[in-house]
Amino acid sequence: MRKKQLLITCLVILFFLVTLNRNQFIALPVTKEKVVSGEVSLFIDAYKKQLKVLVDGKLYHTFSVAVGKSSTKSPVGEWAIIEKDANWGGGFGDRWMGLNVPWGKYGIHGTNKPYSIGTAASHGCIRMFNRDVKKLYQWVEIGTRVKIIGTRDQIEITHSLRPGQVGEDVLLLQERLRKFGFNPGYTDGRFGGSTKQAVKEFKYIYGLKNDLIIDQNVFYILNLEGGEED
Amino acid sequence: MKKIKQILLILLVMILIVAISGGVNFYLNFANQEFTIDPEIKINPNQVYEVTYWDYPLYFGKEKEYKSFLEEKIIEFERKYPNIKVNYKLLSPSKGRSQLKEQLDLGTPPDIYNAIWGTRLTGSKLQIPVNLLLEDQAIKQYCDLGIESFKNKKNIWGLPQFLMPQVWVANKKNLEKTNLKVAKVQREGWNWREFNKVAREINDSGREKCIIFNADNEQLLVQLLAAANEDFIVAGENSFNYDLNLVFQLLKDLRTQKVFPRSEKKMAKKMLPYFWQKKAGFIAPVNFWLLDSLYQQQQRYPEVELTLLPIPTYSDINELTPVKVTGLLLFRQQEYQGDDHTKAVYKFAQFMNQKQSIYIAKNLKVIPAYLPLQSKWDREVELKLELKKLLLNYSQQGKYLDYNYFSNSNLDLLIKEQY
Repeated sequence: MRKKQLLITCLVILFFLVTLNRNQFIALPVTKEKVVSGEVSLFIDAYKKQLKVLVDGKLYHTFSVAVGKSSTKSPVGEWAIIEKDANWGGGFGDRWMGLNVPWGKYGIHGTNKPYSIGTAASHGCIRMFNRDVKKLYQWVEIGTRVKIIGTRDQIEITHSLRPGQVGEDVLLLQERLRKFGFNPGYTDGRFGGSTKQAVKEFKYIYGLKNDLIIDQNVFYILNLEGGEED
Repeated sequence: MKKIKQILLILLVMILIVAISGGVNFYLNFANQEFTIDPEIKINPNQVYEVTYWDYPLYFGKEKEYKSFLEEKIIEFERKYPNIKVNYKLLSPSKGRSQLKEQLDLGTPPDIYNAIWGTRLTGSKLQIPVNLLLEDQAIKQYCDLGIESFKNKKNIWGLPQFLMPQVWVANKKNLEKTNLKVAKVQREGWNWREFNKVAREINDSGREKCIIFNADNEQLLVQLLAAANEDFIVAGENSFNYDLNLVFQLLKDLRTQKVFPRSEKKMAKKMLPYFWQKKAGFIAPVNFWLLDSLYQQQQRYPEVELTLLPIPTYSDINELTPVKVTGLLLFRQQEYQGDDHTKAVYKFAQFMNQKQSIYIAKNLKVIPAYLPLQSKWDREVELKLELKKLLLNYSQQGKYLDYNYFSNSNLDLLIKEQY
């Protein structure tokens, strides 16, 4: 009788353990992946639905991912990982790595819809298989650079731009500055220090007013005509 | 005691004589001696020479292409001269001059510096006059204007590279509504009265039609001063007040006639939109980077016909078009590396000057100062024939425009206040 009770107790405990683990209330130790040495960066190709891990600029690993749907495209640009969380669960799967996109909450995460991997199915985030996201999670750190390429909706510039501003229009400006041979830093939609320096040089070279305001003259030179006149 | 005094006096006199003669000797031999180079000096084939070249990314938007061009040419040169190694550095346009100044102060400037931005250096500290190395025959290969622009105290202080005629950009369609004979003005020049009249006519031709001056660019002041006084380039500081008053009067006349846009203070910001929207008949000043950008923008606005006009002058006498000249400057270091090193530096400067000259001239549509390349430029540069001819004519008939007066920040401030 006592043996039977012990067996039942063990089974109940085991059942709870399994259930709890599935719901991720208990983080069982994950198999340790080998730690990569060198500078890790991520390159996400939304056309091919692939996430490439680069170490010191060289390809280290490729994962299949799901990217944003055509109505909610993944944010094209040069970002950085700003948060890591191992306890999200649900639709976000086993791990979450947040990006510094200034106009929304985007990140790289696992999924409870593994069949969506390899398609354009998300709201803009990068979905991975849970087993893959766990691997990736160990390789990246806060500050790891993430570049996303892909299609995006047309960006309209409706006003002049100034230092301190953030947004897709700033990102477009940064891309054009780079195309024209200037260095605005990362194309991250933030009108910060490097972008200011690039604008300063741009205006100096073209003989425009020595300020940091992106006005219509700049738009015309960069083939970005638009925006209202001040 | 008296004898000791006499001996001391003699000793003192002797010391004085030695000191004075030594001083005179030093002054005659060194202090007053101009830097010279042995004209017969040869590069030692058994010695490795390191040449430092400071340049700017001259062709913006194609920096990688430009770097590849530079590296390719350096390899080509090093193949020809295997014992001369060239190290190059591309400077930031807004910081390059201060970097050069810092190195000059330390006595370690680069061997070669591409003087495309800012105040011209002729005869500055540690600068090497190129006429010490440039043979008479070679000098004749450069246009006179280019050579003249680098002359100071009988020396030539740089290898001329590009000529950039200072022109105003006009919208031909707007000018058609005036009585201006454009071709005649382009051929013979014009004066300020004629310009005033045209500006008025443009203004009368429709709502919002105007001319735009970008007062934020000091180049405008240089051009207006050139218009006000043909001799301002060689004039001393004393003539400045008069010239400035004249310039302010010219601007006041235009303002009174209301030929500028209504929100005059913001007109500089409207320069390009108004030009392509066919509102502005003239825009000025336009440097060669902006001009190149305008040529490219023209493809998107075929309905606007861009043309180039000389800057009007104040007097009735037809003036020559002011031309900006750029070139390569040669420096030595405080610890002089020897005449053979200087010769190696010159070899590279001469080689790069010509290669770069045609590359940039074709891309940026500026005129090479090296005469044998001008016909190549004429044949190969992708620009409307009319504009090409205008640029060549303006540069061939031009006069050198010096920017040296405009390093005075107080003056800049005064001028901005007057605008």
